[in-house]
Amino acid sequence: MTRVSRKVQSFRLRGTTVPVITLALSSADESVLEADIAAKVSEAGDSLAGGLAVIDLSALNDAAPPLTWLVAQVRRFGLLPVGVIGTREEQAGEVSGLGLAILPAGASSARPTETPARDDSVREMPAASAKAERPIEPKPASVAPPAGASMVVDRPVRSGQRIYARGGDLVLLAGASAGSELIADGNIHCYGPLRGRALAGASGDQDAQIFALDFEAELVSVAGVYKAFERLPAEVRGKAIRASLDTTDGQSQILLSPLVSS
Amino acid sequence: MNETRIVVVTSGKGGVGKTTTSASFASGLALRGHKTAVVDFDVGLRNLDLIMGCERRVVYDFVNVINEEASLTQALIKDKHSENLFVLPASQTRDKDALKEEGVERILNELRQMGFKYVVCDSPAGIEHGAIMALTFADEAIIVTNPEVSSVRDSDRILGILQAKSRRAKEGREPVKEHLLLTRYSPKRVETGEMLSHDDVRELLRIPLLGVIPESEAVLHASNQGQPAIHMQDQPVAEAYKDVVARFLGEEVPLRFTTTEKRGLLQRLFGGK
Repeated sequence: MTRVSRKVQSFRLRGTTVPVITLALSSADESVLEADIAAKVSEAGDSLAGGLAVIDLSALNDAAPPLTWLVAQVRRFGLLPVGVIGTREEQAGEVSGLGLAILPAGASSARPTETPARDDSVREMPAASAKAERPIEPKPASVAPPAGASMVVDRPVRSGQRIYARGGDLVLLAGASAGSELIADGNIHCYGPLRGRALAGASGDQDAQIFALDFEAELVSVAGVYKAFERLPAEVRGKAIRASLDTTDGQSQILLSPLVSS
Repeated sequence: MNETRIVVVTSGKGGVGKTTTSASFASGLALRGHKTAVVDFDVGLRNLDLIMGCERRVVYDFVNVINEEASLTQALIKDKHSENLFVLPASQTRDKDALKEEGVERILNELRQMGFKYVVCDSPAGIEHGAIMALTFADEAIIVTNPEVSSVRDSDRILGILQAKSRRAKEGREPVKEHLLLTRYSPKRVETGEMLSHDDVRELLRIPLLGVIPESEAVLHASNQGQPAIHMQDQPVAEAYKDVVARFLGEEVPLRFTTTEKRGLLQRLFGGK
């Protein structure tokens, strides 16, 4: 059994999913909004206090109400505003000035939280490539798979592409190139060469594992604990390898072991 | 009427031989009797017309046709070597944003109606708008790659973009057919380990190999003379491009020019040079 790990003591990077409340505006009229919010606040009491909120402007075609005012309204609920969806270009400065994140439209309900995308093309990839691959079930691509279903990708995942299997396992039939990013809430199974970054248990499942028949990964991570390989040790390179999280001696580290014990 | 096939020649990385390949590949298809158009998507840089040797005949260009300032027939330039080949040059005075998706689609449809069997789209380098426009409507893609790590990585990236942004992918149709073309291949440097071998590259990219074009000074001479490399007499590069066209058309042709020439036993015994 091979143990390859290096301790990072000062911090840990973990992908997490936090519930966020979306305030989707359907009116830009300040007086109407103020009255409605006042009614809702007295109704809600303290139940929303301390929660994170995202302001969704994407349904508004005409001018949105002033953001500073809107943020103050959201705070009346006891909510902490963290981002804005559907920002128009001219508002971008104001949003950043308030310390809020500019979130892409359509990110509201379908995708609660996701690790931030690096650039536009990468952000678009998961949905698009999920469509490009032949669907497992003969349903149109617009039908979202049920939560917990595994995702099967039958073409190579290319450099710059990011695939996220939400709530389930990710099965790669044709491998993944260097520079690709493979994320699953469950396990990752790779039947071709695994050359990208593989992150299993992305929502914190410490029992998630990565199985690869041809292990050449740049980085593996389980439940946020990761191990990067600048140079792959000869005893794992190109071998059938399983990566799991070892928490035995009080601290977590990635454990690489042969997939088939012989 | 035969179905038109749109073939994008792309790479991600610049300077790998996309335009050289577009010119020779389109010429090769025309030499085989197929009505072919080659379209320069590198708006703002415009090289294809130079390599095709028709730069002095450019009056109207791709962007003029998109903006309906000229008709497609006015802008298409007939090749000097072949009756079957037409060049649609790029504009040098616009930038790539002038390539509107609806405009590109309209022109490709017009080429279809004109009975072109193949439309070869010469993509600009990079992964920005111009390159995306060149690959959006593709049925097949020739991924031009040099046998070195950074070129392979960029090719991998463009393959991902092809999977995500092409119309075929977006509409859930059969994916774009991918072909690997290795250019500037030096068997000698592969042997000394300075260059990746074609097997290495094929293993990294995992797409079928369409051909290997040897590194050659002759390509530069051909470009300077405004003549696609495929027309040169007795040059390995020309032969290799002819093989590529044959394989593309479904013929089985063994790989050539991928090994250093071994001197025979007799040559060595008798000191032949």
